[in-house]
Amino acid sequence: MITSLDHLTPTTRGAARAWLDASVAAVPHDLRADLRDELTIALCERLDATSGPDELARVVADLGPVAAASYSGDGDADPRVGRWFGVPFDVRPPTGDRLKESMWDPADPRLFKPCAFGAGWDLNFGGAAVKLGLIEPDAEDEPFANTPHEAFSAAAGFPALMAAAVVAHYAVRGRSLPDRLPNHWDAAGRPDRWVGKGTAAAVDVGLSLAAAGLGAAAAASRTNGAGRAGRLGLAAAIAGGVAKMTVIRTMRGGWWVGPVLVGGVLAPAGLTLLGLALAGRDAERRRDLGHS
Amino acid sequence: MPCPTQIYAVQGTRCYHYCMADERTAQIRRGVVELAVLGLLAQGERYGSQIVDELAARPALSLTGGTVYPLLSRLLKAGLIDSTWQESPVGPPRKYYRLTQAGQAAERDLRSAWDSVRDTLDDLLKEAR
Repeated sequence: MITSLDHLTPTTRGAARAWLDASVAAVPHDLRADLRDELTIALCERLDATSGPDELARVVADLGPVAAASYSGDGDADPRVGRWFGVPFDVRPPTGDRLKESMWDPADPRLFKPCAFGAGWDLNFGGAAVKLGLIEPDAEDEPFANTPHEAFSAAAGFPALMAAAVVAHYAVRGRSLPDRLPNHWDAAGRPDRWVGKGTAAAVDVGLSLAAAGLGAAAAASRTNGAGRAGRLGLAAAIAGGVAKMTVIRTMRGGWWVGPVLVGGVLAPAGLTLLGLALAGRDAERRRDLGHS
Repeated sequence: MPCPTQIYAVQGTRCYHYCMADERTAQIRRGVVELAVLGLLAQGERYGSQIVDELAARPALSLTGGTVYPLLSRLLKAGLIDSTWQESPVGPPRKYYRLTQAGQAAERDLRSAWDSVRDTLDDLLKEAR
């Protein structure tokens, strides 16, 4: 018996963790921590510090057909999901439900959750909103399921407004802008790469119009739920980031460039999701109380 | 990651890691948390923070909002409880939870299973002494 997987040899430990990753990948996100704990304890009880991969394979086989199938790579285990040196990854195509689980889960107090797509962690805007006292952890039975159509339409207004502002910026100030504009900034916020004014305008206008289009398409959809809210959050993030970039290109730069750009992406996305969730909560209250 | 305490206690010929013991205790708690919430709601409807407060007042369960709210969400999805907003005499409206018929049946089944496991373990542990 060992008390931690850290007591295993590096080879066996790596194989054990790979098996744990594969085993929990097949179950819903909210069950993974519990399942991983249980399987870790089962391994610790059955292995000792000198156990090799063969012993691990035997123990895994003893643990049951589902676990054994996961270990051998058969069954429901999904190799596109797991951890790599402790960093979670998930390279399955993102879905509205997974995005909701990682980016809007007010019931979960964690601020960062394994990302819905790619490697690393997503900011749980829902958990952050609860910590800030902006919404209750159980404000909605099912996030965004009761959010009214009008709220989705209103949320599409932000990316449209940002796109209009970017277009107006280049239309009005375009002639007076320098021929070359900053396109990248170093860690201290000083511009270190430049592009022609026309290219900068094309990128900024193109991206902001794409964000407005994404928002409009989400608003026009008749299907309520996490997918629709996620598309509007993404549109707001792109629109906010591009608008900030457009303004920052005209300034000298400084330490604030990074935080402002990150805030320009995160704040619109978070506020959009928060607004849609509050609208959903109000709709639930109107349903039950006759008023919000 | 190594346990931060790294304390060992020797009982007979076996070593028990305190952290492992804590983890096992946590496992026991996880197994009964659903019954705790269903049992509380079997006594009458309650709102979310009321459930959290009443369970948090029982230190042996060691439950917090971070455990209770995701569980409420799962029970809602499973159709074992439902929710409704109600006016509050103080402050804004609150969301109250109550057992559905399926939830009442699940609570009876879990309670019966718990009684059986508890009695069996009590007998077993008495014999072990």
